[in-house]
Amino acid sequence: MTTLNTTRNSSAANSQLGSGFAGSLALHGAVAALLLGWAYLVHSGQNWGDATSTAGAIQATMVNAIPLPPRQPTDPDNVLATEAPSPAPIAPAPKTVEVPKPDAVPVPTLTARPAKVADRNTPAPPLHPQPEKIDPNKAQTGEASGIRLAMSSTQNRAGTISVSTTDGAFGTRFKYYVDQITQKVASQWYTGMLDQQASGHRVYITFQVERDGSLSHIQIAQRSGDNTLDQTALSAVQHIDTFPPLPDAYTGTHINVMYYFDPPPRP
Amino acid sequence: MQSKTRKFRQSPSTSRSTVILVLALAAVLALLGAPAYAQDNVLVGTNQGAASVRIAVADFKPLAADEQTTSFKRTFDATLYADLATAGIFDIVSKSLMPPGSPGAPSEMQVQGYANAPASASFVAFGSLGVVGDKLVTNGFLFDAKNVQYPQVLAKQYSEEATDDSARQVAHRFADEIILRLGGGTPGIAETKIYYVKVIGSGANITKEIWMMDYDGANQHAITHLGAISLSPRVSPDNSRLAFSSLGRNGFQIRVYSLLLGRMVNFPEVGGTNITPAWSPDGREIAYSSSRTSDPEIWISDAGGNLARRITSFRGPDMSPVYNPRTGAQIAWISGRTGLPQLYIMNTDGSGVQQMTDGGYATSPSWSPNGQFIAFAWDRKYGPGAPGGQDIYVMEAATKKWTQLTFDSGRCDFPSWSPDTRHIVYANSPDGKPEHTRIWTMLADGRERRALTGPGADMPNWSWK
Repeated sequence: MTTLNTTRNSSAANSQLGSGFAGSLALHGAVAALLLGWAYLVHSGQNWGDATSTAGAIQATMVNAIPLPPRQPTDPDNVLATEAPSPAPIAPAPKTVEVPKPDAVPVPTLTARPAKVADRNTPAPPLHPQPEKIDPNKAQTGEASGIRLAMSSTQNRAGTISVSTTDGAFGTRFKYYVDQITQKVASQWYTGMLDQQASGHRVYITFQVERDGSLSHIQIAQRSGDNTLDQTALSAVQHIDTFPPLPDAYTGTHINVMYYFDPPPRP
Repeated sequence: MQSKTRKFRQSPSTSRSTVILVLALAAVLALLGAPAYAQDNVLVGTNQGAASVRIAVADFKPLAADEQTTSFKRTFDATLYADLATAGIFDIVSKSLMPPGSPGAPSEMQVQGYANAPASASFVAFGSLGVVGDKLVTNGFLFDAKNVQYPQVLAKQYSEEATDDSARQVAHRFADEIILRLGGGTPGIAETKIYYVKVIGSGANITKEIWMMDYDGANQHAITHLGAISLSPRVSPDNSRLAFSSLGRNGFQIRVYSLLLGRMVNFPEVGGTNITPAWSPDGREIAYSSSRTSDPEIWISDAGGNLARRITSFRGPDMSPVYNPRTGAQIAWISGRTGLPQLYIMNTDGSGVQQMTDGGYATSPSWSPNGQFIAFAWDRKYGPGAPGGQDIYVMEAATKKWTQLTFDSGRCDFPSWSPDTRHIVYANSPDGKPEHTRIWTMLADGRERRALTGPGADMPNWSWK
């Protein structure tokens, strides 16, 4: 009886302990689930560095608008284009020289035979008339400046007068200045708004640069057929406050610039 | 966050460098009929992209071998090299890569030697200097190394009194001429000044005076000797006056120092705390924060301190106003109307209020001279134990897109733009203690940071020109 009692009591105590343990487990589980769920609900979509409207994504035009040259792109896999120092090369393990056994027979080394020398020199081949080298029929590029056609002409009673072009004119004499114009306009052209489907060719913009570097008479000289290209090109030039002052050695009052924009290649 | 921001920042350069720059040019000398309207025609084109200009600076040739000339030449060479190297637009040729000898005149110059590897320079600056009579005469030239036929870009002669300081100023002026010609028409900043607060003493005896220095940290000297706490110096657009707030008998008041007269000029004192002055770009008005009506609000008065009008009226502190230097029609300022201080912009009549930041703790805005960006100090996760610290950020005013410029270098504050929008000067304290604060400069994209002063310098303000 006592034994039975004991057994019953112990089993009741066991079941009590079991239910208490299960309750405790359930309570802890619920608290953990509450914490995790709360953390998920509160912080979902707020991770640091996410491309949300307030997080740190930056538009490509921003750095472009600060008048600094572009920084070199770095690539951690390319040792020549990374900012991290390359790891030092692994030092080779010292080679161990095998000590020859005392009873080893040395392997005979073959000595090269002396090269045969002809007792007479080879006679020179007979001279044939060589065919004349003909210059390929192609445009001369790079070696000399191309032929420049007159760019403006005027009609009068006698006929057509063409303005003669001297090759030592502005573009050659002040090439650095033309490069400045090229770079400044290029850095102001935002291609993000270009229509990717449009088939434009090349838009020509003309403007004047005065002696102090200011711009005037900005207009589209020839449309490209793609309105987005025309407008981005026009606003690129309109964005510019000033170019450098015209070179001191230049005597004219202003220069006329024709600037063309090619659409970027389709990916 | 850090790596992400860096990655995003690289994308424009990658896209720009992939597209090849196409250049074609043709020129017509159209002198026909109207020589008064002489002009040239230039045909230029591009797809995209621009490369930084590689420039070599040859040591100038001394015109005499005396000790004075040698000393001036050393100053001049070092200053010119540093000006061009820190301009942010040049890739400068190391002196060890340049051909030997120092050409002093165009006839002695062989540009081919500079254009070839290893110098591979596109431009070379050279010249000569020497003491003639009691004047320091400097001849400076800039040659286009890629244009063998017509290499000369610039020729300048300077004649200044023979002192070490004028050798440095002549180098600054010559550097500015080069930067104007090769930097897309933006004037250089080598002749600009930086005004700042110098912390003298410590503890109860601490005083803060207004000091100034050249843009490269040279020539540091005191301006005010008030023996008081003077804060936030702001120079007027014409460099004639300096406004700052100073602690006197009536609390913090706006005070104005005339740099032309060399003394304080009158600015009326009003009740409350008056701090953080800002000049309008035309120099006719000063905006500042005043608590004369018990709540710090933004007030605008004329340059003499009269006709003050209040332009903010919300409960909560409003301070640190700064005008849009391009238009003068907008003000960016810091307001605590929603709790922690945030960056706002509005029109100068108080209309069109926009909140720019929506979290953290933002202070000390500075509007870029081209009107496009606002630099400010921001602690994005403000609070005890929050990650990060106070760093310098730049926000595009139109899009509210921002980028972080300083990382993990301690408390950064008081950014101020250079007149060419290429540099930002700021105060940094590695451990947050004011006596350890130094003034640093960096390019506007966060590169090439370097300290300009020793410890104890704070609140820099770059002059307008």
